[in-house]
Amino acid sequence: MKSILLITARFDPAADLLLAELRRRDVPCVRWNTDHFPLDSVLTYRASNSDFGAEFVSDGRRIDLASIGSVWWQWDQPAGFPAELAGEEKRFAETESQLALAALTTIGRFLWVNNPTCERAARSKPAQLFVAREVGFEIPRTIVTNDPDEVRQFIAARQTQTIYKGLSQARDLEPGKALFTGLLTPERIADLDLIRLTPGIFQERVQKSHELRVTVVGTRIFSAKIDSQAHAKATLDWRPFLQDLEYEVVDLPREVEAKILAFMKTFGLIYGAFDFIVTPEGRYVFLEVNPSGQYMWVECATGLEITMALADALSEPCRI
Amino acid sequence: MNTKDVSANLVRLLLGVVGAGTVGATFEPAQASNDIFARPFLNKGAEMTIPAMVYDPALQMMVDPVTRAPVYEKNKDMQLAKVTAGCKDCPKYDE
Repeated sequence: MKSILLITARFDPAADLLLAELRRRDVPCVRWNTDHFPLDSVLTYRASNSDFGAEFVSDGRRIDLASIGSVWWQWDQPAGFPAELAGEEKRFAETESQLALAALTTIGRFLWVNNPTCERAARSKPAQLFVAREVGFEIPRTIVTNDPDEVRQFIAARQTQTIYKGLSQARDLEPGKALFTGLLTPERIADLDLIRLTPGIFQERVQKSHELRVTVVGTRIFSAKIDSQAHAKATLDWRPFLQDLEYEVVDLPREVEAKILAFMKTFGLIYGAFDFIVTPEGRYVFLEVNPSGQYMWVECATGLEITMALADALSEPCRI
Repeated sequence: MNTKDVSANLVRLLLGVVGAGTVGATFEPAQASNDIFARPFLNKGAEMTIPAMVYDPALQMMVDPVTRAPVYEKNKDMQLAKVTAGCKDCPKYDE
């Protein structure tokens, strides 16, 4: 039986959980924390006319990549460098390490959850809206632009409020803070010229009855209702207030599930965490997918067995 | 695990608690600036308290530094589960 490889970072509680579940099943599995690569682990490719081999050494284990059948991929940003390495030397070391790791997606004939190339494509929010529309989801009217006049026209043309989102969560802009969905107030509209430097997402504000976090593993769909409108601070974006909200397991209409699976297939994703609005009229509006979206909190709050589904997918790929 | 490893992990865990800094990144005070449209939309993520833990290379998991018991072996505790919500240097995150 081939092994399951978890490519992640040392601090990844979901990986701990998954590893424990795989071990309970006696499935061979190993973890490689590439946030400590290259200082604390070793990667070697051996190429010749007759053979190509690859192995890594991590946590005292030497693993031949030919022994790996599936990979749970979470992290490929090498950050294991000595503190004294800085400037151009550090950038060179990062580039070399990154390129060494990136070759795995070509060389490894694994089942990837998710394939890093597919995942990078799926992280793009404009690309998500393009595919969501193609598969038939209702999406909020949106512009993604760095043209302030375009945004002003967008705002003027609608009766609804406009919200702003980043293309990323801007987790490096200020320590301790991240970018969440915000309302475009007159004060913010006055600053619109600043978007010349940073394109942003501007979207009509859709009325909500409640929201959904839909976690997908292969063809298994786990849906949780989030009562975001019951908490005044969470009406626009529930993510900063996870612990204050109520969750409930719900079933999705079959046509919504079919669109979700078509979306996953288009991007080549095995795992994804979708966010939807359900309007007061009962319409399902696609917001986004997080191809590396967290799931431990929703599993804990609802009892949805997402870790079990991931273990199933990685250990029995033919069932996906 | 040597002392240096433990120290590095504690730093990372602290960053995880406040949702700040990247693994391996230099940690510097924010420069106040009005040149980024997104800046007024920045907010703190979900705050959380997590127990002391160290990485055990034999188990390949985070363990209690005293009892050596795995911290995240079972997902029953929302206080532990929500650590991945807004945790900046956790691999799983929502953009």
